[in-house]
Amino acid sequence: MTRRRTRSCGPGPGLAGLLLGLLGTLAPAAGGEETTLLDRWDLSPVYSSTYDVGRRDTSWWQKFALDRRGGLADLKSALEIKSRDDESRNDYREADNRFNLQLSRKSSLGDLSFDGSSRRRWNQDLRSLTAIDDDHMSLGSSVGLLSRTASQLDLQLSGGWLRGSEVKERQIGKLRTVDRTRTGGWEGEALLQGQWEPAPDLKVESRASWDGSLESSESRHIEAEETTVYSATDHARTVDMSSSMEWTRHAAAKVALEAKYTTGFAQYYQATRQAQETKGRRSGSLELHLAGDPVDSVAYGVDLTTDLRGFDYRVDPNDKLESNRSGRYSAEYRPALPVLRGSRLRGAVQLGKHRTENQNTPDYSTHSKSIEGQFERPFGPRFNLQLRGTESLTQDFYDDLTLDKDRLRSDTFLSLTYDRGDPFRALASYATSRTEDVNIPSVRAGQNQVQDDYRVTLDYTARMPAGIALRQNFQISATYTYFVSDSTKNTLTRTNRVTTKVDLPLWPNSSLYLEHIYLRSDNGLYTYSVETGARGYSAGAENLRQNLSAVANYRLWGMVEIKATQAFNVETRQTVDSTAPTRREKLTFSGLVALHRRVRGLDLDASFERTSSNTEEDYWTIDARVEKRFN
Amino acid sequence: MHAWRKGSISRRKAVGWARAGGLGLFLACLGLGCIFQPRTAEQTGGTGPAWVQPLSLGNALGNMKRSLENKVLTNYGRSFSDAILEMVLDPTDLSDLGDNEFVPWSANQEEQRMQGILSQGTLSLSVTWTVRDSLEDSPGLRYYHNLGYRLTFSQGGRSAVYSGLVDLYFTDDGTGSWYITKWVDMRDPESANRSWGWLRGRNRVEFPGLF
Repeated sequence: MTRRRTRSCGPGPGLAGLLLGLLGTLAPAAGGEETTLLDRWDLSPVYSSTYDVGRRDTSWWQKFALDRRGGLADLKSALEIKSRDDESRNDYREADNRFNLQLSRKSSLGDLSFDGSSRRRWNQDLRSLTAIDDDHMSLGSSVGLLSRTASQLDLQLSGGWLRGSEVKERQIGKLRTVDRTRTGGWEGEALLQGQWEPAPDLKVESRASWDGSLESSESRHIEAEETTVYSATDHARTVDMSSSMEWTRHAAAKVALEAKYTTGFAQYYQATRQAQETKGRRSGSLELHLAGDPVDSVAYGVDLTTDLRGFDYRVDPNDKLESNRSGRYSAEYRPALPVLRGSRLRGAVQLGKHRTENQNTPDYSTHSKSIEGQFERPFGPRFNLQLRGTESLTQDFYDDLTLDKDRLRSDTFLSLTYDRGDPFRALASYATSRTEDVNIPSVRAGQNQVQDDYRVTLDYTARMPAGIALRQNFQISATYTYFVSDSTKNTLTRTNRVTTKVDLPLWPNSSLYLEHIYLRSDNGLYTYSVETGARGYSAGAENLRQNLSAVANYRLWGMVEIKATQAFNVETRQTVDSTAPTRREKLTFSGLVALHRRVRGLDLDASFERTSSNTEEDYWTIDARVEKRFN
Repeated sequence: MHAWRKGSISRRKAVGWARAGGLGLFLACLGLGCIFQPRTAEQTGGTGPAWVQPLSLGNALGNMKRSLENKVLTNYGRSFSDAILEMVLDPTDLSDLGDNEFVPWSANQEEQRMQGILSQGTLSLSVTWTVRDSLEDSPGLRYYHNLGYRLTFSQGGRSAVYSGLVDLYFTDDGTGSWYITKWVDMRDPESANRSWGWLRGRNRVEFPGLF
């Protein structure tokens, strides 16, 4: 791009530093006095900053806020400076600086307020640049129309001036386009909100708002050295209404109802189409929640939701409409029978219908239903048995029937845990899942498949003398994929995974952590004869991954932490066709220093990490946060 | 005393009904399993591409390519993680599209969106992946940095090309298989072609000269 901003984020850091320096002189008051100038002026300045350096990206955020209560008006102001560089995203850079000032004062006319803001932001990469400036000032008033013990009604009005400018430069192949738009005009907002509590157990809240803007705009589109000028009137308005009701009369039934409706309209110049686009949008939702526990051993819940969301474009055909209806019914039962004492039974049914209408693709409806159940039974103080099952069916119904598809999924999970507290915990579990994909039309049914997963897991954690903790996890799994119309493509994947973790506290302030992961898997064609029951499997590829890592940690004076990590990863892979296995090794070392400091209004958390390996370039990772309250 | 006894009886009845209701609901839940039956597919003479378990990232890319070119996206959708999928568009594409409908996004939505795009008329598609930069990893997470892609759509003698770069993140599902959890899309700075993210956002193939 011809315009290229510098990497620095403008005058922000310098300005923030100046302000901090100024505050530094203000903070200590005249010698010997208890109060400072900040106290005397009742100022509450806060400086916050985060600085993050990733492998390829850097971001820095700073905020300086200054509040003051009393005097002619309460004051709230904030200067925010944000910048980010990401070389992995086509050398992307962005900056976003804003200043906001709010003044408020109570008067006989209600709560009066002034709100002013100025925002400058830009981003660019190798082939594009966008710069957007926005300024706005508004005056507002909040009036209490009604204020009683059981009811309250408030009206808020605001209006003001706004202006903006936008520059977009694009380089697409050899074609370079520039769009410059300037806008200026007026905005207004009205909000009416009320609360009504006719009884202690019934609460009703409602809110209705309108906001709109009217701006004149002039746009210049420059393409192949030809300039076209567009003058237009941009306007937008949004109406937002919401209401909620909550009734808690009995423990047996708590009812909450919430309704929302939003409609919006916007007419604006769209640079990418060089035309004045008109976009309408609407959304609405209605929710009903019912819950209760009619008796000690039973609880239930009902959640019903319906919502609608749509966009309507006049120029660019990309209309969308989505609607959703769903219901969930759940219950929990705690049997009081001696034989089932302490056990818990849960069940839930969920039904849903989702409708999607996109202008450019076929319309369809997705119907879904699922059922889930769970049973928990403790055996004595240490053993606990859990059984869980879920079944769900999702069906896509296209209006033109060309893409209809069903998916049926079943999951079961059985586990037994043994918990002796800190010294020893163990878990044994068995999980299965079956997923069946059914494309209905014959031209797509060749892809229909059934996937069966089986997984057995054994996991234990043991704490030994001298604070040594050992955790091991053993897992065996098998995944079968059956193609319904072509059994010669059926496959089986087998996996064996062992994870070992050891925590060794060496001295009071230092520790050593060791981790080893062993993962062996193979996969290949799988045959099964329905007639004879014969099964056959031939492994086509074998994979072995091992990760070994050691982490040494040392804490110094409670505020400095030093960590060193060494990791060795090796992966070997061999297929039937390959003569020798491929082997990939990676050795990584990283060193980290972290600081944590909390003193006299200063909060500091920072970590600096350097990583190097035999396969990648070295890189830094920095994560720093600071907040200073000056009063 | 009488009132107490009456209250106690009605409470016992309520407890009884509640227990019966809870048990009934549980049994109904078990019984309802039989209504979870998918529809029967139409008879087919053909077969689609095989599924190769994504024990390597190359296997996953191969599954996606074959599925897209075959225009039946079951294996394409299966290549994405069911649990989480983050779709990040190029900032310029996002600015031009106006609305970001990809937050949140899921494997099922991705499959439906691409399936809808591929069902427009008699399109044919060829897909090319180009590994341009390094493959990077940590235990349980791997990603291609700057993976190049090129989608060439053909229809009645016309063709439309979408190309760009993607940082493609895969997560190990615990059994050694890799599934996509994050797609960071980028326009190709060296090309005038539109990106895959733009194709998703526009929801249709735009042949040159028509739009």
